Amino acid sequence: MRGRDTYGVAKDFVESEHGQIGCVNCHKGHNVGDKDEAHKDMTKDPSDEGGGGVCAECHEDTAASYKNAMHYKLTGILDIVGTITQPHKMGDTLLPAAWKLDCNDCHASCGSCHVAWPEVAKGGLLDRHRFLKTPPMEKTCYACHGSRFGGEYRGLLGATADVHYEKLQMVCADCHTANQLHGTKPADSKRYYDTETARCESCHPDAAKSGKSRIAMHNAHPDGTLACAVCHANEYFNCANCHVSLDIKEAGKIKVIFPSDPLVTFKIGKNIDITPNNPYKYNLVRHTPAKKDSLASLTYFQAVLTGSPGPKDLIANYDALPTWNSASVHSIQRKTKQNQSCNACHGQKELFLTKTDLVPEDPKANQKIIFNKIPAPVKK
Amino acid sequence: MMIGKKKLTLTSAALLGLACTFGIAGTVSAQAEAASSSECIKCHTDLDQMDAFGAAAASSSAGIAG
Repeated sequence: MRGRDTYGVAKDFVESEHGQIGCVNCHKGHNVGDKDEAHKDMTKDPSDEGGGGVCAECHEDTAASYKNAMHYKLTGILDIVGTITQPHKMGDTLLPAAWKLDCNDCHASCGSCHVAWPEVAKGGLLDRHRFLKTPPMEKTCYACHGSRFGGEYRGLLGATADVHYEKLQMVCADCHTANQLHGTKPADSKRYYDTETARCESCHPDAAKSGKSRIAMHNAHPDGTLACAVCHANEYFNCANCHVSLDIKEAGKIKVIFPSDPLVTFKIGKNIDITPNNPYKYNLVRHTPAKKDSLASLTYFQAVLTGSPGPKDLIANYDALPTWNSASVHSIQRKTKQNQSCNACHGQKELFLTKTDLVPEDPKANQKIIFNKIPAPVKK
Repeated sequence: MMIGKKKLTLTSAALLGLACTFGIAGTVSAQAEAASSSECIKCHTDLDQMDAFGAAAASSSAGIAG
């Protein structure tokens, strides 16, 4: 068929271990010939509830861990929204409704990686309902991480593909293991605070030994100074403004627009999220697509739907968080423009985030990320 | 020594019996579970029919991701 395998179920799946459980035992509904009656009370995704749903009956350990995982709870996004909208109470706004309708689409159940396309990609079975132990990255991971990670990793955006893809065709799960994806430690932590994430030195242990390396540049930079990507990533993609806004110039005609300007950059910034797994003083930073009025449409809808407008300044605490943030850039190469020599980086103003990269509307927190003085050229 | 051998034989036979019983019972039980969804399976394994429904749904584009 053209497009996506949406409803068809393979006969070999029916005969498999999972298939023999029987449709109605997971999905509920009714075992009758009439379509409407059959689908009555049906659960489309029986794996969602509580972080495991019906899967938890056999996969207890994974479900117990997954219920607290970042992919299930979207802790990072919740934390950001909760911070920038203070002191407003969520209940006084349309944020909970917007969360359900939109943001929460990125939340992943067991099924939305192992059986079906994620909700954000409009669902549909991945492979005739066969259970896929390793989710296919193009269909599942990239549904949510497609425009930046997926684009730069495969070389569709930015200067080059990632060497791990280009030479080895590695997939996401080769670095991001099932255990890491099925849990977040400590529970409720955000991305860079998760202590069990992919580490370059797991495969390249020698590279990380500053002072004992065969590579002079590794020895020249003390441990904890530079994230690996600062020297080994190429230019990468950023979204400059906001994700979604609404054109409501004409009454009754509402148009959803995506005004984000694409921005391909390479910027080294100060790391303000120093954690055991992101201990570096300097990291690459990527622009977060947010503006002070990014959620203005919610105020408009609140007025239309409830008759009373919500808070005018929904992102009242905009200054609290930067819009340039630590990035895990996926365009890694051994040789890059900036690692050719000391002075290919030192003294090269365009590589560093400075005040000239900021605009007056930026949040105050961006001041903590910029270099006031860039590293001077190295004298030979 | 004889008693030991007899005991071993009996134990083996008992274990084999248990394995067979539970193995068959497991299969029968799984078949019963699948049979409880026979009508669902009849429709959803008709791939031509399902793909006709799917084609309509797939014509709407995928979502935008970050």
